Amino acid sequence: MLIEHSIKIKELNLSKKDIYISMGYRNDTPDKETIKLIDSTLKEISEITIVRYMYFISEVQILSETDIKIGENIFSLGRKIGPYLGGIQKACLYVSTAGKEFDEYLGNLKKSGDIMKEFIADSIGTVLAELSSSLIANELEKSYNMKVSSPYSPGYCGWDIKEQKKFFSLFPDKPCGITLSDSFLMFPIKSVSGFIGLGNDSFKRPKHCDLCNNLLCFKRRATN
Amino acid sequence: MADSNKLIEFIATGKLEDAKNLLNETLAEGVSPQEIIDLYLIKGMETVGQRFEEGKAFVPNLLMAARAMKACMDILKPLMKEGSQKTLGTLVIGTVKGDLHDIGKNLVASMLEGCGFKVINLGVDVSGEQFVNAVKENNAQIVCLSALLTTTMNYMEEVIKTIEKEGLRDKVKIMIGGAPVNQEFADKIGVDGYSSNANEAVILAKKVLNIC
Repeated sequence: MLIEHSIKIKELNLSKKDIYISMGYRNDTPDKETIKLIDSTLKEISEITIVRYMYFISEVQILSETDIKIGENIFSLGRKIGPYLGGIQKACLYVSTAGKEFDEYLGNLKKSGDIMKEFIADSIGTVLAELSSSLIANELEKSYNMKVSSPYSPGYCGWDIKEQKKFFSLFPDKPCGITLSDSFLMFPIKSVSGFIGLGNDSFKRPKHCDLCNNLLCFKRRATN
Repeated sequence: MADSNKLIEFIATGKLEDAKNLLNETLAEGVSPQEIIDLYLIKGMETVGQRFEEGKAFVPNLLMAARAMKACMDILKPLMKEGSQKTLGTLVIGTVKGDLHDIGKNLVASMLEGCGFKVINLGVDVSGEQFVNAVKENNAQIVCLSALLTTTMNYMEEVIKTIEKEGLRDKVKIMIGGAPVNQEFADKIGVDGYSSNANEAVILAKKVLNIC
Protein backbone atom coordinates (compact mmCIF):
# COMPACT_ATOMS: atom_id res chain seq x y z
CA MET A 1 0.00 0.00 0.00
CA LEU A 2 1.39 3.36 -1.05
CA ILE A 3 1.23 6.01 1.64
CA GLU A 4 1.58 9.68 0.77
CA HIS A 5 1.75 12.73 3.02
CA SER A 6 1.99 16.48 2.47
CA ILE A 7 3.00 18.55 5.47
CA LYS A 8 3.29 22.29 5.96
CA ILE A 9 6.48 23.39 7.66
CA LYS A 10 4.49 24.91 10.51
CA GLU A 11 3.26 21.40 11.33
CA LEU A 12 6.78 20.00 11.43
CA ASN A 13 8.86 19.99 14.53
CA LEU A 14 11.73 21.67 12.73
CA SER A 15 14.81 21.95 14.92
CA LYS A 16 16.73 25.21 14.72
CA LYS A 17 19.77 23.34 15.95
CA ASP A 18 19.57 21.05 12.92
CA ILE A 19 19.59 24.12 10.68
CA TYR A 20 22.61 25.54 12.52
CA ILE A 21 24.44 22.22 12.16
CA SER A 22 23.53 22.07 8.48
CA MET A 23 25.09 25.53 8.13
CA GLY A 24 28.34 24.26 9.63
CA TYR A 25 28.00 25.63 13.15
CA ARG A 26 28.68 22.25 14.75
CA ASN A 27 27.61 22.80 18.34
CA ASP A 28 27.90 26.58 18.28
CA THR A 29 25.10 29.10 17.91
CA PRO A 30 25.11 31.79 15.21
CA ASP A 31 25.37 35.45 16.13
CA LYS A 32 22.18 37.52 16.59
CA GLU A 33 22.26 39.03 13.11
CA THR A 34 22.59 35.62 11.46
CA ILE A 35 19.81 34.16 13.63
CA LYS A 36 17.57 37.03 12.52
CA LEU A 37 18.35 36.24 8.89
CA ILE A 38 17.75 32.52 9.44
CA ASP A 39 14.38 33.26 11.08
CA SER A 40 13.23 35.56 8.29
CA THR A 41 14.35 33.09 5.60
CA LEU A 42 12.60 30.23 7.38
CA LYS A 43 9.43 32.33 7.60
CA GLU A 44 9.51 32.98 3.84
CA ILE A 45 10.15 29.31 3.12
CA SER A 46 7.34 28.26 5.48
CA GLU A 47 4.87 30.33 3.50
CA ILE A 48 5.55 28.55 0.22
CA THR A 49 6.91 25.10 1.01
CA ILE A 50 5.10 21.84 1.56
CA VAL A 51 7.18 18.76 2.37
CA ARG A 52 5.89 15.72 0.51
CA TYR A 53 6.83 12.11 1.09
CA MET A 54 5.64 8.75 -0.17
CA TYR A 55 6.46 5.22 0.95
CA PHE A 56 5.46 1.59 0.79
CA ILE A 57 6.49 -1.60 2.55
CA SER A 58 7.87 -4.54 0.61
CA GLU A 59 9.15 -8.02 1.46
CA VAL A 60 12.93 -8.33 1.41
CA GLN A 61 15.25 -11.23 0.75
CA ILE A 62 18.95 -11.08 1.52
CA LEU A 63 20.79 -12.69 -1.39
CA SER A 64 24.40 -12.08 -0.37
CA GLU A 65 26.63 -9.80 1.67
CA THR A 66 26.00 -7.06 -0.85
CA ASP A 67 22.73 -7.85 -2.61
CA ILE A 68 19.10 -7.79 -1.49
CA LYS A 69 15.90 -8.53 -3.37
CA ILE A 70 13.06 -6.07 -2.87
CA GLY A 71 9.92 -7.25 -4.62
CA GLU A 72 11.20 -8.55 -7.96
CA ASN A 73 14.23 -6.26 -8.08
CA ILE A 74 17.75 -7.03 -6.97
CA PHE A 75 19.68 -4.12 -5.47
CA SER A 76 23.44 -4.20 -5.03
CA LEU A 77 24.03 -2.11 -1.93
CA GLY A 78 27.77 -2.66 -1.68
CA ARG A 79 29.90 -4.08 1.09
CA LYS A 80 29.46 -1.19 3.50
CA ILE A 81 25.68 -1.29 3.98
CA GLY A 82 25.25 -5.06 3.79
CA PRO A 83 26.56 -5.88 7.29
CA TYR A 84 23.94 -3.60 8.87
CA LEU A 85 20.96 -5.38 7.36
CA GLY A 86 21.13 -8.64 9.28
CA GLY A 87 17.62 -9.66 10.38
CA ILE A 88 15.84 -7.49 7.82
CA GLN A 89 12.39 -8.87 6.90
CA LYS A 90 10.74 -5.97 5.18
CA ALA A 91 11.85 -2.66 3.72
CA CYS A 92 10.11 0.68 3.67
CA LEU A 93 11.02 2.39 0.39
CA TYR A 94 10.49 6.13 0.39
CA VAL A 95 10.97 9.34 -1.51
CA SER A 96 10.63 12.83 -0.11
CA THR A 97 10.99 16.38 -1.36
CA ALA A 98 10.92 19.99 -0.24
CA GLY A 99 9.15 20.56 -3.57
CA LYS A 100 9.39 22.66 -6.70
CA GLU A 101 8.17 25.77 -4.89
CA PHE A 102 11.27 25.58 -2.72
CA ASP A 103 13.47 25.09 -5.81
CA GLU A 104 11.97 28.20 -7.38
CA TYR A 105 12.55 30.17 -4.18
CA LEU A 106 16.19 29.02 -4.11
CA GLY A 107 16.57 29.81 -7.81
CA ASN A 108 15.36 33.36 -7.24
CA LEU A 109 17.83 33.82 -4.40
CA LYS A 110 20.63 32.66 -6.70
CA LYS A 111 19.58 35.20 -9.31
CA SER A 112 19.51 37.97 -6.67
CA GLY A 113 23.16 37.25 -5.83
CA ASP A 114 22.47 37.14 -2.08
CA ILE A 115 24.85 34.29 -1.31
CA MET A 116 24.24 34.41 2.46
CA LYS A 117 20.49 33.98 2.13
CA GLU A 118 21.00 31.35 -0.56
CA PHE A 119 23.25 29.41 1.80
CA ILE A 120 20.72 29.64 4.64
CA ALA A 121 17.86 28.55 2.38
CA ASP A 122 19.93 25.68 0.99
CA SER A 123 20.73 24.52 4.52
CA ILE A 124 17.05 24.69 5.52
CA GLY A 125 16.15 22.71 2.37
CA THR A 126 18.62 19.98 3.31
CA VAL A 127 17.08 19.69 6.78
CA LEU A 128 13.55 19.61 5.32
CA ALA A 129 14.34 16.89 2.79
CA GLU A 130 16.11 14.73 5.36
CA LEU A 131 13.46 15.18 8.02
CA SER A 132 11.21 12.79 6.15
CA SER A 133 13.30 9.74 7.03
CA SER A 134 12.80 10.38 10.75
CA LEU A 135 9.10 11.09 10.22
CA ILE A 136 8.71 7.82 8.33
CA ALA A 137 10.75 5.87 10.90
CA ASN A 138 8.46 7.23 13.64
CA GLU A 139 5.35 6.27 11.66
CA LEU A 140 6.74 2.78 11.07
CA GLU A 141 7.52 2.23 14.73
CA LYS A 142 3.98 3.29 15.65
CA SER A 143 2.21 1.31 12.92
CA TYR A 144 4.25 -1.92 12.96
CA ASN A 145 5.48 -3.76 15.96
CA MET A 146 8.96 -4.00 14.44
CA LYS A 147 12.39 -2.47 14.85
CA VAL A 148 13.68 -0.05 12.22
CA SER A 149 17.15 0.26 10.70
CA SER A 150 19.04 3.41 9.77
CA PRO A 151 17.97 4.86 6.41
CA TYR A 152 20.10 4.06 3.34
CA SER A 153 20.04 5.90 0.03
CA PRO A 154 21.28 5.24 -3.53
CA GLY A 155 24.40 7.31 -4.10
CA TYR A 156 25.58 7.09 -0.51
CA CYS A 157 27.78 4.73 1.50
CA GLY A 158 28.89 2.74 -1.54
CA TRP A 159 25.41 2.18 -2.99
CA ASP A 160 25.74 3.11 -6.67
CA ILE A 161 23.59 6.12 -7.60
CA LYS A 162 22.80 4.40 -10.92
CA GLU A 163 20.43 2.15 -8.96
CA GLN A 164 18.14 5.18 -8.57
CA LYS A 165 16.53 4.23 -11.88
CA LYS A 166 15.56 0.78 -10.61
CA PHE A 167 14.53 2.25 -7.27
CA PHE A 168 12.22 4.80 -8.89
CA SER A 169 10.70 2.11 -11.13
CA LEU A 170 9.05 0.73 -7.99
CA PHE A 171 7.09 3.99 -7.50
CA PRO A 172 4.41 5.57 -9.66
CA ASP A 173 5.69 7.96 -12.33
CA LYS A 174 7.12 11.18 -10.81
CA PRO A 175 6.47 10.30 -7.15
CA CYS A 176 5.79 13.50 -5.15
CA GLY A 177 6.67 15.33 -8.38
CA ILE A 178 10.26 14.02 -8.34
CA THR A 179 12.04 13.26 -11.61
CA LEU A 180 15.51 11.88 -12.32
CA SER A 181 18.18 13.51 -14.47
CA ASP A 182 20.38 11.53 -16.88
CA SER A 183 22.96 11.39 -14.09
CA PHE A 184 20.30 10.03 -11.68
CA LEU A 185 20.00 13.21 -9.64
CA MET A 186 16.60 14.18 -8.35
CA PHE A 187 14.52 17.21 -9.25
CA PRO A 188 13.45 19.12 -7.20
CA ILE A 189 17.02 19.34 -5.97
CA LYS A 190 16.10 19.04 -2.27
CA SER A 191 14.75 15.50 -2.49
CA VAL A 192 15.80 12.23 -0.91
CA SER A 193 15.19 8.59 -1.72
CA GLY A 194 16.02 5.51 0.28
CA PHE A 195 14.83 2.65 2.38
CA ILE A 196 14.49 1.77 6.04
CA GLY A 197 14.75 -1.89 7.06
CA LEU A 198 12.18 -3.53 9.34
CA GLY A 199 12.82 -6.58 11.50
CA ASN A 200 11.92 -8.23 14.77
CA ASP A 201 15.26 -7.55 16.42
CA SER A 202 17.20 -4.33 16.78
CA PHE A 203 19.45 -3.58 13.84
CA LYS A 204 23.15 -3.06 14.11
CA ARG A 205 23.58 0.65 13.48
CA PRO A 206 26.63 2.31 11.96
CA LYS A 207 28.45 4.51 14.44
CA HIS A 208 28.15 8.14 13.29
CA CYS A 209 29.71 8.34 9.85
CA ASP A 210 31.52 5.03 9.63
CA LEU A 211 29.88 4.12 6.30
CA CYS A 212 30.58 7.32 4.45
CA ASN A 213 33.80 8.57 2.85
CA ASN A 214 32.81 12.22 2.92
CA LEU A 215 35.25 13.60 5.47
CA LEU A 216 34.01 17.14 4.97
CA CYS A 217 30.30 16.54 5.55
CA PHE A 218 28.67 18.90 8.07
CA LYS A 219 27.20 15.95 9.95
CA ARG A 220 30.59 14.34 10.45
CA ARG A 221 32.06 17.62 11.61
CA ALA A 222 29.16 18.14 14.00
CA THR A 223 29.67 14.79 15.67
CA ASN A 224 33.47 14.79 15.88
CA MET B 1 38.05 62.30 10.10
CA ALA B 2 36.85 58.80 9.32
CA ASP B 3 38.61 55.95 11.08
CA SER B 4 38.98 53.94 7.89
CA ASN B 5 40.80 51.10 9.63
CA LYS B 6 37.45 50.14 11.14
CA LEU B 7 36.42 49.20 7.61
CA ILE B 8 38.64 46.13 7.88
CA GLU B 9 36.70 44.91 10.91
CA PHE B 10 33.30 45.86 9.41
CA ILE B 11 34.11 43.69 6.39
CA ALA B 12 35.54 40.88 8.50
CA THR B 13 32.41 40.80 10.67
CA GLY B 14 30.03 41.30 7.74
CA LYS B 15 28.55 44.56 9.04
CA LEU B 16 27.20 45.65 5.70
CA GLU B 17 25.53 48.96 6.58
CA ASP B 18 28.40 50.11 8.82
CA ALA B 19 30.86 49.17 6.07
CA LYS B 20 28.91 51.12 3.43
CA ASN B 21 28.64 54.22 5.63
CA LEU B 22 32.33 54.25 6.50
CA LEU B 23 33.25 53.57 2.88
CA ASN B 24 31.30 56.65 1.78
CA GLU B 25 32.97 58.76 4.48
CA THR B 26 36.39 57.50 3.39
CA LEU B 27 35.62 58.30 -0.25
CA ALA B 28 34.46 61.78 0.74
CA GLU B 29 37.88 62.37 2.31
CA GLY B 30 39.49 61.77 -1.07
CA VAL B 31 40.85 58.24 -0.65
CA SER B 32 40.83 56.52 -4.05
CA PRO B 33 38.65 53.46 -4.68
CA GLN B 34 41.69 51.29 -5.44
CA GLU B 35 43.35 52.31 -2.17
CA ILE B 36 40.18 51.46 -0.28
CA ILE B 37 40.10 48.03 -1.90
CA ASP B 38 43.78 47.32 -1.25
CA LEU B 39 44.11 48.82 2.23
CA TYR B 40 40.79 47.90 3.82
CA LEU B 41 38.39 45.66 1.90
CA ILE B 42 40.76 42.87 0.90
CA LYS B 43 42.37 43.01 4.34
CA GLY B 44 38.91 42.54 5.87
CA MET B 45 38.41 39.43 3.78
CA GLU B 46 41.85 38.15 4.72
CA THR B 47 41.03 38.74 8.38
CA VAL B 48 37.84 36.64 8.29
CA GLY B 49 39.69 33.99 6.27
CA GLN B 50 42.35 33.78 8.96
CA ARG B 51 39.67 33.49 11.66
CA PHE B 52 38.05 30.67 9.68
CA GLU B 53 41.36 28.82 9.49
CA GLU B 54 41.73 29.18 13.25
CA GLY B 55 38.22 27.83 13.85
CA LYS B 56 37.04 31.21 15.17
CA ALA B 57 34.68 31.84 12.24
CA PHE B 58 32.25 29.63 10.31
CA VAL B 59 31.10 29.46 6.68
CA PRO B 60 28.26 31.98 7.30
CA ASN B 61 30.82 34.46 8.65
CA LEU B 62 32.76 34.12 5.39
CA LEU B 63 29.57 34.76 3.47
CA MET B 64 28.54 37.77 5.57
CA ALA B 65 31.98 39.24 4.92
CA ALA B 66 31.74 38.48 1.19
CA ARG B 67 28.31 40.11 1.12
CA ALA B 68 29.61 43.28 2.79
CA MET B 69 32.57 43.27 0.41
CA LYS B 70 30.26 42.96 -2.61
CA ALA B 71 28.08 45.84 -1.40
CA CYS B 72 31.18 48.02 -1.05
CA MET B 73 32.46 46.98 -4.47
CA ASP B 74 29.07 47.92 -5.96
CA ILE B 75 29.66 51.45 -4.68
CA LEU B 76 33.27 51.59 -5.86
CA LYS B 77 33.04 50.04 -9.32
CA PRO B 78 31.14 52.92 -10.97
CA LEU B 79 33.78 55.31 -9.63
CA MET B 80 36.63 53.45 -11.32
CA LYS B 81 37.62 53.70 -14.95
CA GLU B 82 36.67 50.65 -16.94
CA GLY B 83 39.56 48.22 -16.89
CA SER B 84 41.46 50.19 -14.25
CA GLN B 85 40.48 47.93 -11.38
CA LYS B 86 43.32 45.67 -10.34
CA THR B 87 42.49 42.01 -9.91
CA LEU B 88 44.60 39.18 -8.59
CA GLY B 89 43.70 37.15 -11.66
CA THR B 90 40.79 35.85 -13.69
CA LEU B 91 39.30 32.46 -13.02
CA VAL B 92 36.55 30.35 -14.46
CA ILE B 93 34.53 28.20 -12.09
CA GLY B 94 31.77 25.64 -12.59
CA THR B 95 30.20 22.39 -11.45
CA VAL B 96 31.08 19.71 -13.98
CA LYS B 97 28.67 18.09 -16.44
CA GLY B 98 26.07 15.77 -14.94
CA ASP B 99 26.18 17.47 -11.54
CA LEU B 100 23.65 20.06 -10.44
CA HIS B 101 24.99 20.99 -7.01
CA ASP B 102 26.24 24.51 -6.72
CA ILE B 103 26.03 25.98 -3.25
CA GLY B 104 29.60 24.99 -2.33
CA LYS B 105 30.90 26.19 -5.66
CA ASN B 106 29.04 29.50 -5.21
CA LEU B 107 30.62 29.95 -1.77
CA VAL B 108 34.06 29.47 -3.30
CA ALA B 109 33.23 31.89 -6.14
CA SER B 110 31.98 34.47 -3.67
CA MET B 111 35.11 34.25 -1.50
CA LEU B 112 37.45 34.42 -4.49
CA GLU B 113 35.63 37.47 -5.80
CA GLY B 114 35.67 39.07 -2.37
CA CYS B 115 39.41 38.51 -2.13
CA GLY B 116 40.17 40.27 -5.38
CA PHE B 117 39.84 37.75 -8.20
CA LYS B 118 37.69 38.28 -11.28
CA VAL B 119 35.35 35.30 -11.25
CA ILE B 120 33.47 33.89 -14.23
CA ASN B 121 30.86 31.57 -12.71
CA LEU B 122 29.57 29.17 -15.36
CA GLY B 123 26.97 27.56 -13.10
CA VAL B 124 26.21 23.83 -13.04
CA ASP B 125 26.29 20.95 -15.55
CA VAL B 126 29.23 22.56 -17.39
CA SER B 127 30.90 20.67 -20.24
CA GLY B 128 34.61 20.64 -21.09
CA GLU B 129 33.92 22.75 -24.18
CA GLN B 130 32.14 25.39 -22.09
CA PHE B 131 35.12 25.61 -19.74
CA VAL B 132 37.50 25.94 -22.71
CA ASN B 133 35.39 28.63 -24.36
CA ALA B 134 35.20 30.61 -21.12
CA VAL B 135 38.97 30.38 -20.64
CA LYS B 136 39.55 31.69 -24.17
CA GLU B 137 36.94 34.45 -23.96
CA ASN B 138 38.14 35.76 -20.62
CA ASN B 139 41.83 34.97 -20.88
CA ALA B 140 41.51 33.14 -17.56
CA GLN B 141 44.52 31.95 -15.60
CA ILE B 142 42.70 29.43 -13.40
CA VAL B 143 39.95 26.88 -13.95
CA CYS B 144 38.09 25.67 -10.84
CA LEU B 145 36.12 22.42 -11.13
CA SER B 146 33.52 21.32 -8.61
CA ALA B 147 31.57 18.05 -8.17
CA LEU B 148 29.49 16.64 -5.35
CA LEU B 149 29.10 13.08 -6.55
CA THR B 150 31.51 10.20 -7.00
CA THR B 151 29.82 9.54 -10.34
CA THR B 152 30.35 13.06 -11.66
CA MET B 153 33.82 13.74 -10.27
CA ASN B 154 35.26 11.52 -12.98
CA TYR B 155 34.08 14.06 -15.56
CA MET B 156 36.82 16.34 -14.22
CA GLU B 157 39.29 14.20 -16.14
CA GLU B 158 37.29 14.79 -19.33
CA VAL B 159 37.51 18.55 -18.76
CA ILE B 160 41.27 18.30 -18.33
CA LYS B 161 41.57 16.28 -21.55
CA THR B 162 39.53 18.89 -23.41
CA ILE B 163 41.72 21.68 -22.04
CA GLU B 164 44.84 19.74 -23.11
CA LYS B 165 43.39 19.04 -26.56
CA GLU B 166 42.85 22.76 -27.06
CA GLY B 167 46.48 23.46 -26.15
CA LEU B 168 45.55 25.43 -23.05
CA ARG B 169 46.95 23.20 -20.31
CA ASP B 170 50.21 25.14 -20.00
CA LYS B 171 48.32 28.42 -19.87
CA VAL B 172 45.88 27.68 -17.06
CA LYS B 173 46.14 26.28 -13.57
CA ILE B 174 43.42 23.81 -12.61
CA MET B 175 41.96 23.56 -9.11
CA ILE B 176 39.33 21.10 -7.90
CA GLY B 177 36.97 20.84 -4.94
CA GLY B 178 33.80 19.12 -3.73
CA ALA B 179 32.78 16.47 -1.25
CA PRO B 180 34.03 13.32 -3.02
CA VAL B 181 37.41 14.64 -4.17
CA ASN B 182 40.65 14.84 -2.21
CA GLN B 183 44.35 15.48 -2.68
CA GLU B 184 44.90 11.88 -3.80
CA PHE B 185 42.32 12.28 -6.57
CA ALA B 186 43.82 15.65 -7.50
CA ASP B 187 47.25 14.05 -7.84
CA LYS B 188 45.80 11.17 -9.83
CA ILE B 189 44.14 13.36 -12.43
CA GLY B 190 47.07 15.77 -12.55
CA VAL B 191 45.58 19.08 -11.48
CA ASP B 192 47.45 21.93 -9.81
CA GLY B 193 45.62 21.86 -6.52
CA TYR B 194 42.74 20.73 -4.33
CA SER B 195 41.00 22.70 -1.60
CA SER B 196 38.50 21.46 0.96
CA ASN B 197 36.79 24.79 1.68
CA ALA B 198 36.22 28.29 0.33
CA ASN B 199 38.98 29.91 2.32
CA GLU B 200 41.53 27.28 1.33
CA ALA B 201 40.51 27.87 -2.29
CA VAL B 202 41.53 31.54 -1.99
CA ILE B 203 44.89 30.58 -0.48
CA LEU B 204 45.40 27.95 -3.18
CA ALA B 205 44.45 30.31 -6.03
CA LYS B 206 47.04 32.82 -4.80
CA LYS B 207 49.61 30.05 -4.44
CA VAL B 208 49.18 28.62 -7.95
CA LEU B 209 49.55 32.13 -9.38
CA ASN B 210 52.59 32.77 -7.17
CA ILE B 211 50.89 35.75 -5.54
CA CYS B 212 52.00 34.72 -2.08
